[in-house]
Amino acid sequence: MTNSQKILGQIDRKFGTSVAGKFEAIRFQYYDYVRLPTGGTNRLTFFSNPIGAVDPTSGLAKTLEETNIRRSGELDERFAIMQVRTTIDVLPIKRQPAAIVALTSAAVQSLTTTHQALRNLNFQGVLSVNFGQKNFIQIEQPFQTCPPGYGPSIRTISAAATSGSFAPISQYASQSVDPRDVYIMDPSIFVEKGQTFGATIDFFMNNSVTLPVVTGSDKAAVNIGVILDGYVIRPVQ
Amino acid sequence: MTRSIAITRQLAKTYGTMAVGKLQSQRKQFYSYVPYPLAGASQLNFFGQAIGNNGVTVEQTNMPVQGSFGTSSFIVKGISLKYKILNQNLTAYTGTDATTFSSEILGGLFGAGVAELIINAKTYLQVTKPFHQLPPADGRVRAFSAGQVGANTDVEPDATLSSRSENKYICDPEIFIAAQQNFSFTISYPSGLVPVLASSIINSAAGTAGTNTLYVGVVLDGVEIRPVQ
Repeated sequence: MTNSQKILGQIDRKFGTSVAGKFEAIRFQYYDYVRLPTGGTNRLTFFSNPIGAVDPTSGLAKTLEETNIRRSGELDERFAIMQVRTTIDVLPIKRQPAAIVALTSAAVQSLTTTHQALRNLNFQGVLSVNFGQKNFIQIEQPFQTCPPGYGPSIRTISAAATSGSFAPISQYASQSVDPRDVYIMDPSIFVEKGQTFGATIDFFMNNSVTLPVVTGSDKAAVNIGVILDGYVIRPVQ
Repeated sequence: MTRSIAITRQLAKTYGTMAVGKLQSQRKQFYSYVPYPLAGASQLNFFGQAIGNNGVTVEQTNMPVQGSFGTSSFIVKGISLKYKILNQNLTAYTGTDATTFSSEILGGLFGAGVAELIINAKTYLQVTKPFHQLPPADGRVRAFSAGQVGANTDVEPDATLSSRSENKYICDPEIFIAAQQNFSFTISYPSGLVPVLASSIINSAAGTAGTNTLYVGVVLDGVEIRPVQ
């Protein structure tokens, strides 16, 4: 050990910047959401655009709401993957295109055809996660096999009709909200800090669903997310 | 040991204000609610006010001091995000987003945001769409009805944040927050503000007393460790 290391070690012990050689494990998630192209796509790529990079479909810079990776294709801490979740998220109405925001019944009625298309999306795609050149996860119909396992409690959804006509039917498609359905990695996958990795959802047979027009020429904005839930292992400070 | 400490200890032994050096533990929920602004917010800060600060009452928080648990230590075992509002039927439902609170669940403010728990400048929690990922899971009240009233009129939609106890967000391993340790819990909206959708129900500006303000809150569920008294 050089003298400088010794001095640093002593300073560490005295002023508590870190406890040398000790690590803590905390439950943590790494996540990435990408915008679903409304005309369909044959591949969605995850964990390649970090915070600040532009989502190629939405054209917007990604924020902490869309991803918490800081470098393309790398995690910034050692991580053990315990669960894999995928999510189909229709953006809040107030973040939809202006013509949809202007609708008076967007949440309770107008997105019915969008939800019908998203129900079909649940039957499509293959999720692949590769570390280096090696494939570790390959799951077909990932939106059904790896559901988020969380979501609202909804009993009814409907919109009143105008007088003299039958009430329109409202539909709301939801992946499983039951945490027992979440895809468990057993054994877990350990990812070393700085290890390059990538995740894709491929739609080999045909492109992903084409979203319907909601109003005018506007289609709903939908994000697709991949959440890796597990344990971060980092130095004790 | 100074003389004053010895005297204080003797008094404590005699009059039983506390058993020095002994600790007790109990299940406890610390909570903090803040008003949600009608136009949305770039960030909501929780646990930043104690009871009595700026008229904050026990309905909004039970924090003894700002940003820490005071003389108690706390082990966080579960986290729930909740809401409360005085009147969910302020306006009759007419088939629009504005006239039902359920629209906020189906396509409103609860579908956005990122929650962060930071202790001593270290991130211990970072979760998107936190109202869905960290739901109340408290068996909350539901509205039952006969369904469609007639051919022309629908009943109001019924949706709420998850009421299923199995959806509770469990901190495993649990998170320890020491006495006097400062921490912060925030929900931020860096991708843009989310104004309220149910604008005929949530109709008052943040913090306007006695009106129909939407309060959103964080409940930290766990074990409090405090001196024996």
